[in-house]
Amino acid sequence: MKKFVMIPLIALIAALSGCRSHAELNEIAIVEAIGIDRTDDGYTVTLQYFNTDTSGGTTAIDSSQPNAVTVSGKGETIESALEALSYSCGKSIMPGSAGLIVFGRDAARDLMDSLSFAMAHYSGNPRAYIAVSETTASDILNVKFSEGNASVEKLESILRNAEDIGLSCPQVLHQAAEMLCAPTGSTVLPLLAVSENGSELTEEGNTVQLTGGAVCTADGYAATLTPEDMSGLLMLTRDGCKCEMTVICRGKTVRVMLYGTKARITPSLAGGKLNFDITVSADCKIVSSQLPDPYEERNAVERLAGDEVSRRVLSVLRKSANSLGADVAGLSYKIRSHSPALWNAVSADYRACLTEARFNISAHPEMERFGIMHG
Amino acid sequence: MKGDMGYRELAAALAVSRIFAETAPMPDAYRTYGMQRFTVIAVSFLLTAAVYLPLWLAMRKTEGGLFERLADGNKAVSGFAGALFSLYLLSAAAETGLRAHYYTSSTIFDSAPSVYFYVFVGAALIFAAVKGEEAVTRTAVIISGMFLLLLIIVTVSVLPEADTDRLYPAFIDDGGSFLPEVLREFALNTETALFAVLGGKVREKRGRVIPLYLGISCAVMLLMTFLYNTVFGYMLSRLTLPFYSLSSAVDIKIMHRINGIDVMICEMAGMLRLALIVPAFRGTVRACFTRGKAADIAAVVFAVCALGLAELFTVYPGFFEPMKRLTDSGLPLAAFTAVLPLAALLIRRKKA
Repeated sequence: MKKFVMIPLIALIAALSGCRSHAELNEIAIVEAIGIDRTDDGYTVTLQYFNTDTSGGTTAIDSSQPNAVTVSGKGETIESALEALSYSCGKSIMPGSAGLIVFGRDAARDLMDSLSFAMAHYSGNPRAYIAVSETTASDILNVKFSEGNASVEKLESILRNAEDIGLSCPQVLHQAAEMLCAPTGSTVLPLLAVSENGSELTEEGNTVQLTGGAVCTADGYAATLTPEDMSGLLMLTRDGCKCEMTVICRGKTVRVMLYGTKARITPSLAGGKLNFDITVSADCKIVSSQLPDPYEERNAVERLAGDEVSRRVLSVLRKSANSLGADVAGLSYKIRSHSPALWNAVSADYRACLTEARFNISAHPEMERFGIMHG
Repeated sequence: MKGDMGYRELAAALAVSRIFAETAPMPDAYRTYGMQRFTVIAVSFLLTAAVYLPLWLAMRKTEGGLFERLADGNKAVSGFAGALFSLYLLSAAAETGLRAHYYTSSTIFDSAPSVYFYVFVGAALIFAAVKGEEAVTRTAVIISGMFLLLLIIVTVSVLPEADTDRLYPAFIDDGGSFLPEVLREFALNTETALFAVLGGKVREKRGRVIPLYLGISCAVMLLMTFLYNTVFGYMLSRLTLPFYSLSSAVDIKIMHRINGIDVMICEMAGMLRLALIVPAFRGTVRACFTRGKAADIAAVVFAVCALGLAELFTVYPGFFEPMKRLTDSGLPLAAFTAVLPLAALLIRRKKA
């Protein structure tokens, strides 16, 4: 008896699935990157989506061609611009797979509001990389790399590799949103620029370069950080990172690599001003040098590398905290975790406290291993 | 009248049911970043354990549940208590339906009609009303296994991003909100009240059910609070569905490919909570009013009313406010897990 009931029921489940309207894959724009620019009358949104017309069926994906389409649309809000794009390209927009969101220089204000279109949507990707363009976001997304399936993969690789070699501090969507929700509402995003250097990687001979970082506050794009500043920020905020630097020892150039970095930050209140004692420790090794016997000079190289680390860390803190009152290194968490009472004392006027804060930085790289050769 | 439920099965079912209330918040409830939440959870579970003691004493030397014991002593008292308890269960079921509907309609079901939600949940409730608590708890083992797997995947994936600097040495951030929060969390432990009915059907070692339930629920909720605070920091105060946001941040491809699997597992936990309430109601009716088919029919009617109320509260949230104020005070739960068992003990002593 049960079988007579269950079999029609199971058949019904399979049959009913066709009763709802649905979209085929070629009717959906699977967005891989989103560019957001601000204009006088609203937003220009540039989308890079997977081109389903060149693949599937009998046509395999041609990995030597950029299988991505780049389109732009305008609207008063980001959502209305996306809607306009949906009409113009005749596909329903699926932003959930976007791996990269680029903001134009002018769009880098009220970032939290701008990001909310992706954060609030249930299919938004919290792991999408966020970056800022030196000019406009559409400039970045219109660079057509000639290798790989889609240009966005290249851009993601640039950001990932930059972190691996200690040149940038990339942020994914939920990390950037977290920084923007913090008391000073500021963050640092990687800064991308189009370079006309005749690259063979792209169709037009131009390419995208990572030129440093953009300090973004509620007021917008507030300051530019150099790659050295970005490595200082990386050492300050992400334990275990590595970075390379050049020091001059006895008139000779020495390339040093720091790895396994660890920053210890101790805040205090002295004379009514915030004071941060920052100690950066790391392992280091000489990558290449012009010294006749690098092993003999290892103590001097350690000291010089320590000075360079201190300079980079101090530089990023001066440019962000002292100049703008921007807490891009998550110092408020350090204060609170060190002493909730201290946080209560400074939280009411935290931005002003940061502009007057003092930073005492010491760095102690240690060369415990010297590699296979020492001379 | 011993039943066929294992104590581990019931404890797992109650724990998943409680954790559902943590993962699917009420529409107007917001988590805030801070250490107070750890203290609130710990204190509310200690309070639940303390309030559970009279229930344990009342059920220790009887074979059935609390209401069987009350009915043995005084039919009028058991009838009155049973009626009030049924209302409490109806309120808990409507709240669970509201949470589950809000969670799914805010996420993967955002464009699907409500009828889909009610078809799925209604089917689960009819299963619970007809098959009873043994079938529900056996199903609960599968759901708790899936939930545990989801939690492990989420924890392993987001743990590298957990920044322990976001924890700070403090227990109470805001003295004014501490006590209401503790009472609200305590009031969510409806599962101890369910145990007053379902506990009578446990095969053996039923004294272990609530300690196990409290331990598992408390540990999981503390772990979730740890992840919320260390991964999201200040952003936690702006998230309406923190567990959904946490599982969205998972960097494991299978979670991206099966988009919405996390919501479906949480939804199953919600269905389980509802499905536990229905047999609890049926058990109450059987103990206090009538046995046989009438109790089964009453359970089906109860399930339909619960879903109807959930829909009503979804459309008109203002209607739920007075009921919510009462349940959030923790008084109904305390009445059924502490006052009523004490009354049962007194009646028994008087009769003896």
